Amino acid sequence: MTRSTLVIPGGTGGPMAPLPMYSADAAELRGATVHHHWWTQVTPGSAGRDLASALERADADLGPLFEEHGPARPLVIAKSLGSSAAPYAAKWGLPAIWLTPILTHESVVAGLRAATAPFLLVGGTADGLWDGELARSLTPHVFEVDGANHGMYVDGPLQASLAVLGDVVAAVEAFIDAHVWPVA
Amino acid sequence: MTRRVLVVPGGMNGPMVPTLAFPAEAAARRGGELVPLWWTRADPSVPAIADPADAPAFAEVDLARWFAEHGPSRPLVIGRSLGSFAAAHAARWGCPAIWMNPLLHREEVVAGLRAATAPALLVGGTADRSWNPGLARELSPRVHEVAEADHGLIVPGPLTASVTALAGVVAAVEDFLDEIWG
Repeated sequence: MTRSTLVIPGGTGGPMAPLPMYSADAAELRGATVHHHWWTQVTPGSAGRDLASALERADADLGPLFEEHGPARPLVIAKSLGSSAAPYAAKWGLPAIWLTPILTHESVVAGLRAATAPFLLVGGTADGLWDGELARSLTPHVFEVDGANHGMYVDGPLQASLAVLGDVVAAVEAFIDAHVWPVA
Repeated sequence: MTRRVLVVPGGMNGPMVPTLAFPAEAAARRGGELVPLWWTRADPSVPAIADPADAPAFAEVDLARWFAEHGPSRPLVIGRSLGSFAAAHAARWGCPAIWMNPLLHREEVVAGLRAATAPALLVGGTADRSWNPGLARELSPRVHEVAEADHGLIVPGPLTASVTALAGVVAAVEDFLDEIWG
């Protein structure tokens, strides 16, 4: 089957923000076609102010999005607000990479619990929406960065945050090669 | 004086792409007050410009408004690709600027860069057709060029090499910020 990837953004930066963009690039380098979703009802930057409302508006997109792309059995790559797609990924049995998922939200966690395909959770201990212990109870595939915030930035020189980005990319690539499209 | 920073996006993908997000973060960490901008006429999921000839007119609708509002505070401008059509505005207001993957094959952009009086950093890759190494160096003494990088500053080989290239870009941006903001 043709490899494909569905990229679902957070509430701020769109699907070409650093974390989803490089993760999707990793899939593309492995021969996948990439579909970038843009929220139709979430204004960029607004999600942080009213998460409950953003989740509701995001959900309006997700049903049709998965009806369209689910049958191709894509790898789902989602950042933050995009983790509201967890129940849909579970329903379609899709592997996924959840970048700084909203682990404080019940329906996201329920969706992750219901997953049958492998998934990677990426988060930082300085992110209020992250819960490392919960993450490790949900999947054996967890990449956690000490001191990283919701954007996966760490304190100190900015170069340290770029090193984190490099480590996330390496973790994403290792997960894809081992569990999504195994290297023969 | 506040250090306002206008982040002017390329024609697609908005102001949070890696080549804008990290330079903007570097500015924020130096007290910069970020103003990320989105083209109001664009659906971000489709290319903003069907015909390259329309690009300046497309961009000008928002640029005129943004610079009328923010120009007087002489912000730092961080612009990428289509956003480099802001060069004329930056020159007019005397704004320092960081131009990521500027459209050096477009006369309007080059004229704006030539007219600049404040320092500008030009960042580009040698595999980007809109980049011109000789012209870049003629336009500014501050040039950071990435060998073999494309218009998104992605280099061939493993993806981590592109992250390393981005780290080099960010280091150049940080040096530039420390120069202009001391």
